[in-house]
Amino acid sequence: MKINEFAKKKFVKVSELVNKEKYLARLFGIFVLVFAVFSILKPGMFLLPTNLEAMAFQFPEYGIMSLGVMLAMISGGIDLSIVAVANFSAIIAVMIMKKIAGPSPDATIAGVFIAIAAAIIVGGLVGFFNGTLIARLRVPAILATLGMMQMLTGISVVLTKGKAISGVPPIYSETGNTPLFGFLPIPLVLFVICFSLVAFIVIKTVYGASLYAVGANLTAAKFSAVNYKRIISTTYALSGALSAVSGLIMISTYNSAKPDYGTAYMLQCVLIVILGGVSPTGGIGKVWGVLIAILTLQMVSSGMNMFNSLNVHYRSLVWGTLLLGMMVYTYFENNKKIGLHKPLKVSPTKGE
Amino acid sequence: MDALITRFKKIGRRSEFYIMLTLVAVCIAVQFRSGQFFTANNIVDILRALIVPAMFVMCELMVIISGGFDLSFPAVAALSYSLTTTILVNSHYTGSAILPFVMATVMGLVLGSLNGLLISYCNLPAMIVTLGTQAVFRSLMLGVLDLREISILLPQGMKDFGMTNLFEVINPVNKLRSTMPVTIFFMIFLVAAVFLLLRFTLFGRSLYAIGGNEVSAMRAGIKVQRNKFLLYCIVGAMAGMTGMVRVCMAQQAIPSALFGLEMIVISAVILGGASIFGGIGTITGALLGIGLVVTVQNSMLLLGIPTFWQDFFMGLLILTGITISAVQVNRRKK
Repeated sequence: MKINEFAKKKFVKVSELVNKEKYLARLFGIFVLVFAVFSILKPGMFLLPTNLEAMAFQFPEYGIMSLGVMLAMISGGIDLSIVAVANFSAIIAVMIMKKIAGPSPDATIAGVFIAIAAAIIVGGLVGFFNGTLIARLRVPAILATLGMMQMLTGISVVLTKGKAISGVPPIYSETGNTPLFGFLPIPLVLFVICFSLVAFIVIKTVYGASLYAVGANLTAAKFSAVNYKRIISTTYALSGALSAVSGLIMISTYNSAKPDYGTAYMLQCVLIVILGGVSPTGGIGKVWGVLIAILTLQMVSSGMNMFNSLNVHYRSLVWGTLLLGMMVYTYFENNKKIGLHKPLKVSPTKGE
Repeated sequence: MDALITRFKKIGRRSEFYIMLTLVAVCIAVQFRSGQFFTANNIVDILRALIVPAMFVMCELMVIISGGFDLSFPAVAALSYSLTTTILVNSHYTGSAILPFVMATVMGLVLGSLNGLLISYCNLPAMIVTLGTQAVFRSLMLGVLDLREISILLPQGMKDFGMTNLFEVINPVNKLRSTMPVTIFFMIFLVAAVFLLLRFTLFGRSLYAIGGNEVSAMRAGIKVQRNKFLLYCIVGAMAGMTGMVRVCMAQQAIPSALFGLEMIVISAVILGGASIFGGIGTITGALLGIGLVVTVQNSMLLLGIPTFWQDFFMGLLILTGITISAVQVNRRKK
């Protein structure tokens, strides 16, 4: 009897949570569904530890960038320069490594650390520049970051003459590609660190609260004495630094740096963030939603790789359809609740 | 006299004026450096390179005026022309270029209507919808339908049409020939049509109203949803037609040829003084914007700047252009 009551209580709690976080619950449902479908269709391949490990190596690259896009989008903007920033800082890092790394292992290790620090600083500075354009000069975020993307890619092409620059010290990619303690992939560790950091900042700090305030209503935030210029600059600087971390992961994956690695990631990250429930107009969004969206995407791409008849392009088909379907579904769901079938349809006579 | 001064002041406040100045400055600078800018064949080359981007700019301008955003038009164009040419090649079509154009335009219309349906009737943000449909259209084209590049097999009617020239000019110094294709009439037609539409029709005026303030437009009695839906249909049809113009001019249908063009086109529209928030934008400005972009691209070849500097200069141009126009808009608001 007692157990029964306990279960009932738990159930009520869960259903309350589901009701409160409807979108998140639905997203989680899709996640479970995708997992189940691939596990049933390809049981011998999908659930293998090697596949799970491969997935853990792949998703941090764009997962960390998505976190940057998420921050920018919550603040009411968008960051389209992420991939360009990642490649640019990766190129800088590789150039520094090549310069400093010498025959002695100590010099090499020092070079690697200096390069990592330099890459993150460069990413942060570029992001800060983006933020300055957006907050102080009031350039629309989408255009500022678009222009920045074009220009950074240009600089990267000039620096590398369009070719991949290799010559990364072996110790760097070896460390990046060997799992920690034999089972923890380094990119996954980096992702967990970045994610926890971002989640902490967004949920627990004053900056996080101001971020939502700025995104939800800039004018209201201004009058509430929120220093919106600083908040926006910091946001894009963070996004740039996160992109630089992705760039560092990409160096170890490809064992080189190139201006056009991962160009498909830009749209992918925007899709992830929106599918994760972040509002493109700002102010709304949860880190957990984005996390589920990142994992769902990785499962879709890994799962679809296992079907030989499906080429790479099917992935974006599934992804695009999922995004549009989810938005349309949410739209009809919201309308049912309000009892309106056509929103915004205010009749001129009864309007006021 | 006073009237004249106020008139000049008015012109000085418009971004078209500054774009025009920049364009003239670039032209003169290139002329001094290379001595080849104001030659007949270079002008014809630039005009030739301008045809397709200018037609796309007209699509994007209408969308941006209405307060929307279209990232999908290159995908719409590419899917329409690839599918059209593949169908025609498979059915051994030998007729004139009229049928391909009609087919591509209708296909563009259908694809555009999907955008319109989602954006207007489901009231979803245009940028996200077109981002999604762009991914869907591209993957349909390259994945599901598996459309390939067609060049030699292109129907003869289309090849002939693309090769038809109005006139040919020869540079007396280096004997380079440049030809003006008939497809320039498509550009002129489209620009004129969009001009008439935006200036003299209720639909065109309502786009400005919707872009300015959607709720006000609705209260004023404008059928916002229907007009937005129509807009995306028209833009889709225009994109389909433009894609076919490109195929005829290039003598080949490459599915991935237009990828990335959306960024350049959007930047050109914004450079031309259109507001990203909608409600503001002129055809003159947009044409000057794309003219500047194409001229800079073209002149870099003329000046012998290595190709890997091109991206950098394009980015610099776009970034400075949008920053200046943003600063101006702010100043006007104050």
